[in-house]
Amino acid sequence: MVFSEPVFLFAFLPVALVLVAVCARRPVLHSSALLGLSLAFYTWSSGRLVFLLIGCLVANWALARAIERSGDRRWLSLGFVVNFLPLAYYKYAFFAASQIDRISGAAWAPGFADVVLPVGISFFVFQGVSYLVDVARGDTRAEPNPIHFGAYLAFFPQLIAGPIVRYRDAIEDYRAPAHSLDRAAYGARRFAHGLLKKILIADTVAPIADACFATGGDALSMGAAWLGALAYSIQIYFDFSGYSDMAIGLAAICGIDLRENFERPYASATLTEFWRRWHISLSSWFRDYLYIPLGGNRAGTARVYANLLVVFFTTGLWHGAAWSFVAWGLYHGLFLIGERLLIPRERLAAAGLFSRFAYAFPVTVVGWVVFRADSLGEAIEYVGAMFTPSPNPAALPALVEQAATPATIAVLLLGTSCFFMPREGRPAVWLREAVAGPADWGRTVYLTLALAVSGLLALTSGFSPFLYFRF
Amino acid sequence: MNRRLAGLQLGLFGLFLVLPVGVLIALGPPAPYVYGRAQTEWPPISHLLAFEPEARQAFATALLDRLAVRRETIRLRNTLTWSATGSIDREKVVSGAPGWLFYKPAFAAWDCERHGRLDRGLHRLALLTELAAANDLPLVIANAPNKAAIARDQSGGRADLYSACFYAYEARARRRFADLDSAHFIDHAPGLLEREGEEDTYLPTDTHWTRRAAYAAFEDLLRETALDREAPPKPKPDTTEKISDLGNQILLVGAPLEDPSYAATSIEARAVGEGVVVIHDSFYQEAPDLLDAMLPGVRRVNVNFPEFSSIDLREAEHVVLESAERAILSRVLDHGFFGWHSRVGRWLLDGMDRAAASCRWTESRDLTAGAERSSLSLEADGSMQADGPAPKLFVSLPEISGDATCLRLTLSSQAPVHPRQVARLYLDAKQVRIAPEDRVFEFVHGRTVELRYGRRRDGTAADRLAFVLPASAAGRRIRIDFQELPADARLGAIEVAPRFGAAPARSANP
Repeated sequence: MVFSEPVFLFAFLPVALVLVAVCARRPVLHSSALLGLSLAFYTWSSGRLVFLLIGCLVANWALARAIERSGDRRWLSLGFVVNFLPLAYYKYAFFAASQIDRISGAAWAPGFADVVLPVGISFFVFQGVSYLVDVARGDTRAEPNPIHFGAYLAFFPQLIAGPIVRYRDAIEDYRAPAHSLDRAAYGARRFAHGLLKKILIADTVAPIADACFATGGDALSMGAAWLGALAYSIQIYFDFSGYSDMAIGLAAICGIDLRENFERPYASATLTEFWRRWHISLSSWFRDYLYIPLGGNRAGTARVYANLLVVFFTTGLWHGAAWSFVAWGLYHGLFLIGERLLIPRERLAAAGLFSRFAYAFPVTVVGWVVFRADSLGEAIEYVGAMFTPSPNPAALPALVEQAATPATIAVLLLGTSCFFMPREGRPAVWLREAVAGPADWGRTVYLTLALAVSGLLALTSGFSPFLYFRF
Repeated sequence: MNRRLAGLQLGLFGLFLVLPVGVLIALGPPAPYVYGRAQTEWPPISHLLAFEPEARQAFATALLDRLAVRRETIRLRNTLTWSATGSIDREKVVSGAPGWLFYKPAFAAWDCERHGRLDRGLHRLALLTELAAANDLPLVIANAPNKAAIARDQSGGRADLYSACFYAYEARARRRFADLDSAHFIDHAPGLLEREGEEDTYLPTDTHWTRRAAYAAFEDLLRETALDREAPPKPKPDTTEKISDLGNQILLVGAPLEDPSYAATSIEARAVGEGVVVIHDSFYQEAPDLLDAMLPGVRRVNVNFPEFSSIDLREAEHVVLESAERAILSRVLDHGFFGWHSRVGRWLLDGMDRAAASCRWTESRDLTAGAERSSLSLEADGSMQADGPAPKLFVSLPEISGDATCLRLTLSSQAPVHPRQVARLYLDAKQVRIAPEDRVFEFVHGRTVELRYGRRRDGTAADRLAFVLPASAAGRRIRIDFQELPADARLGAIEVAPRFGAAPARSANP
């Protein structure tokens, strides 16, 4: 079940919001309702794998209590095993077995071929790990109430595609949910805004990207290859940030505050800045639970660069068990190292428009090609097409021509404006304020339009899962 | 003020969430619409509780199918898109030149990746017409061409876009159609192409031809077969109204189409239709009254209606099989509406069997000795029995000049038979030796006849599978595969005989 799916919008969500509203005044009842709804939501998405989530939830709650009571770090080690073992099995076993098979000639991979990846496992495992580490570090107390903890870990708006929420940042909202009319109205606006981003822009440009990548680099002109790469860059941003908007909006309606996950990443002038603005909850998780424990910036220069490579290798692998994801992570890591090596820190912060358009924008777009390709070979072929002049660079293969209708191209151009919009220019400010701020007539009109257009498209389109569900 | 507006915003959001299911609860599901997909059944609760993903999917689809709000939303979106841009692209319907809609699956029928099916289907069509000629079967197959083949200029390049091979395959099919025996096959395309400049042959927003084009097709049918008398004067022009099927499929709001027609009352009967069975799809269905007027007493059966599945053709004096071009090749193949396993196929096999009964079996030649066997052992009494998997025979047919050749194989078994037990005859096979041990037998896909075991006569357990071979088979090598041969089955002689013998007996009618 995805947020833009009619069954969620018109069957699950009305029931869920009524139930949450009814239970709003009693925190434990409120958390019970959220937990029940979240488990129902996950069951609908993943069937029996809900028991994995329940197991993870119970184990993390009990282990944190044990860590706090005994102070024994072995409980934390057990916590790592309990969290990472299912992740390793469900997400990486097939990939690892395939690599072993390739080297040794064994045939282990077929044994894992039927393993189905539970949706959102990377997200709830990371939340569980951060909770255990925070308790072990003494940064937070272990949660005595399993209902509050369950509601936090399994909270359906962010369960399957984030943002990754730290327990210490969120738990007070579960203990004392802050419901108000203004907050709920803001949540509705934010949800509608995200739905519009997903359905109007991400889903509309997706066929262009799909057609280009399905055609493959060997049959694409230079123009078509860039068109596909650009379309995918737009799709993934509006898809994922749209999902985050919807999650934040739903959480607000439920009386829970979620952190922002995006801050106009395509307006970044450097890759360093990009990673401060893209999937913020994941970047900060890796910073706090991997980069800093490895030594962070305090180690020697070589060690810092090595740490960066480790973090980006892991970031790539987090996104999927494939060499193309690893390559994408390392690609970003190497650019970050390059920026540190070549650009002084004060100039890095002040990098402007030229850097944004001539450097950060193309580097990011090429990176998405590596990310999107089904294999490393396919990625190399596609990137080759982007930089190989062709006799007719604007020629489009039939499959792409079918997808690139005037309407999809118009939406692609609209989406592309996120690359070119001045950071603090009027449109950017207006867009930000269309959702945030007090309820006024302008925001009411925007909400109405967003709901009308989203409803029109949601009810008339086929199933379209969010891209980040598979991670 | 802010609180009121916040309340209003929440109200709007709530209305958005509850409206579709609220309308369903209050008013119930909308009625099915013409050409619309049947509503998905609700899955059993037990399947949902058993965590079955298919049940969850079925629930979601069933809910969507019942949302009147959804249907009206689709109507609104498509009508707005079509009115504002004149361009639309949906799952099955796509726009061409301004004002024209096309049925997408018609493009996919000539998809580049389906060249194998194209070849098989064309071979099967050719074989059917040859068998009809050889076995004196009163069969006519009629092809209703794709809209994009006739209204080519109106397709706006969509055919090329959705299938790069569309026009190449269409031209190939058309050339092959032209070579088929015109007494048994009619392609309506040439006639329609002649008319295309003069009058509308296809309706802009409908898959089908106009009623006038249908009338022209009926004229073709009667002219090319023995059913026609002579061309009467043109009937009185008329116009009818119809709901556009393509517009209806995408729920466009619009006025009914004006369909150029002829007044049925002004049509002169051209022949007696008693004994004529026309099995057709939606193309002949466009003007059934005109066909009835031309052929009084004709029996029409729509392949898409339930009566087709129980059709009895034993009394038919003529059988006409009409099909839309996009479906014709798959319909004649084995499991299609007109394939060997269908009622039509069985009628053909019965007719072939009857034709073979009049062959000169007294002058027959046994080809068993010269046949090459695979997984078949020769018994002392001259019969053959399976001794391995996939038994098959390769037989070289003699040249019999000036006469048709009949083929008969005899098979006896006490075991009950089931539909999968067939002898499949590849009428054009040749052996290619790649290596001393590896024999590869090439054959032409589609030029196959499937004879079901169980045609037992005289209360015996012996099958006699017989028919008159098409003239093209003379001198050829054929391959016979025996599928699911019962363990006790014994294969008797493989015989050929002249149809009429030394003395010409062409006037004899089996």
